[in-house]
Amino acid sequence: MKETGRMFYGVLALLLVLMVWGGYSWLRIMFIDGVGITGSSDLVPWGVFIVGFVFLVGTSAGASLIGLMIHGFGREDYKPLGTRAILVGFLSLMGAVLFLMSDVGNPLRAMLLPVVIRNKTSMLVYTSMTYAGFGALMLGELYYAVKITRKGGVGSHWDEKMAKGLAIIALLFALMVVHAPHGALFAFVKAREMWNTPLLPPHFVVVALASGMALMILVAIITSKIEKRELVSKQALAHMGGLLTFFLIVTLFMDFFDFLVMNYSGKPGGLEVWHLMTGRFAPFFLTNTIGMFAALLILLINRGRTIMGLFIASAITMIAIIAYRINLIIVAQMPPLFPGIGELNYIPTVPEMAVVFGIIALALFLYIVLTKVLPMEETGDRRLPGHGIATRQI
Amino acid sequence: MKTLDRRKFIKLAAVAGTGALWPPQLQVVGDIIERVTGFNPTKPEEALEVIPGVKFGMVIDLGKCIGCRRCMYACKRENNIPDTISPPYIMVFETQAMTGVSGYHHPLIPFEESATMHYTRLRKDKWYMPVQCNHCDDAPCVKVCPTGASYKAPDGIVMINYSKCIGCRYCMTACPYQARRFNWWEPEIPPEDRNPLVPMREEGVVEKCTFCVHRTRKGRPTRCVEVCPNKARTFGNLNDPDSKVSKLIATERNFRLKEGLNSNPRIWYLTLPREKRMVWFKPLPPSKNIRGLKK
Repeated sequence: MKETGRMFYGVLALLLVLMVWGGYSWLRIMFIDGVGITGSSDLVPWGVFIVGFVFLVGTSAGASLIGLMIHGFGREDYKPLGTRAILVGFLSLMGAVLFLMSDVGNPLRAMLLPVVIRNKTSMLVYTSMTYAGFGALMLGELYYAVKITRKGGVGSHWDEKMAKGLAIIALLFALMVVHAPHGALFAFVKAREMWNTPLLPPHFVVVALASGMALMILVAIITSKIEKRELVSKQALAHMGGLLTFFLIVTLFMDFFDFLVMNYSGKPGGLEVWHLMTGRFAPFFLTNTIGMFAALLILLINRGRTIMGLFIASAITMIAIIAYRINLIIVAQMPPLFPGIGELNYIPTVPEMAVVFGIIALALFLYIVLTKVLPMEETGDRRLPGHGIATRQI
Repeated sequence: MKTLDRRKFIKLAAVAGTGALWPPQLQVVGDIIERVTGFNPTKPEEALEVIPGVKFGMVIDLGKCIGCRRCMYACKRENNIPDTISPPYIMVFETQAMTGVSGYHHPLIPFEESATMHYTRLRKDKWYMPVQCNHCDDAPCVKVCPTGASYKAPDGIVMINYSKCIGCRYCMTACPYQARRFNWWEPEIPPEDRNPLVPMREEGVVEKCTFCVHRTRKGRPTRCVEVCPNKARTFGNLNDPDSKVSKLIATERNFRLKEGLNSNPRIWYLTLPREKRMVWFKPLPPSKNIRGLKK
């Protein structure tokens, strides 16, 4: 255990209060009052829980990216971030599943979903299976990472092999099995113009990578600030910024052509969504696009020279991606499928937002406690003398 | 102990992986879990025997519909729909000259000037259009339902097994007709107002029009067909070429809602003009002899 200050317990207490409030609201929604106290309605069935679910599944990609950097490309300067990245990824996924569980009407039945295949054509069955698989992979990664760190940074041959193999499998699994089908979950819905585009699965992958990378940059910088030492080197941070720049460029490229096709072809549903996005719900759309462009500009001008620039760019990216998810989930449901239904609206209620804050507080709380309890890789260099090709052959 | 070389490890992992991800294996696990937890008790609708060789369909004559919403209210009472579910299974739209009813709302036309379901009086210069679950043959809602709670019965009715529904509402977003409703609250209907033939739903499950399965599987028409004062609705067997529904579809001008989505809805709309259809509306005056050819 590391030394803790008054600030630490203050933050934990605040998070606990949020968790209790969220837990009570969750009980109200699920058992005491009914799902009716959420802002969703029969005509706008999905609300802020699905936004949180989609966003957190996206940020869990950061873990696999850092794992790839360490084990796939052998970048030793990323190593201090390794265990933290796995932890962030796992807790993101846990939060996402909690969001899904808060959204469904029958959480007890829904828990059987990864096991009971009753409909082979439903994407939700497969995606919930992949969340279980991804979570298990990350737990395995975490186990080996902690084991290696406990042994002073040098694991046995088998441990190192497992850590490396799991990291690479986890990345492939995340990109091909988790995020793309997660986009397909929405892309398969032909009733909603904004979702029903083949661009959505690759778009989900890229946005997931962008949000995951931005989150990892924030984690690295904030941890360095709090612990008053350099967690990862400036070069590594600059490299992460470079990757984020690339993901942002691809995201903007895809967004541009998505909206161009939507407007040019003038399909009625697409036009309606575009009209809503730039009209009644313009704040989210503007936050999304302007935020992405601003983050990209800062990253391109700064080029990792100052940590502050990187921090601001990552924070703006996170906000822009949250706005994008709100746009994607809530604004996409706003066009009525018959003109006669009239104007639809969705405003999240207080208990609903309490659950959102509660779930995020729970993830943060677990992160803070676990980083204190578990040994994090902080030596920076694990190549101790005697560890190399010679030892591996023994 | 034998050592595990890389090749063997990969082989073992591959076998284990396919074994774990193979749906039939999980199906068996699922069966066991269902049996142990009572997850899937017998559906209430299964007590009603499906009439073999029947495929239900409906025809709604827009020329006859006067927008009285009697079908909507009768459906609400017949199917024990609580007040918290809004709108009920049937929505009736009053159309406007410049906006369609079956497509999307055009963004540049304000909602006040477009079609509406919130009309307060019936007008002769408008036409009306009831919309409900279309019981599609390739239903998007059945495709996306993760537990298979929504299913297509052999007689063409898209049914929901309420005891299997987890309430994820994926089907509600997938339905192109916005025909599905969710029990946001525990449904409350006084016992004396309930229809004993229709099961009460619990909180947190999705429900929708069942084509009045408790009536139609016993050879009676749906409630909305029964109450329509102008006989705008016709219900029957699509497999029988001599049934009234089949004949109407074959001989009258008709369309289906959002046919472009290829979901094969089972409700047809007839579009013959009102003056040929209305029972009590006065026929239009005979056309004037403009060319002066008649004596």
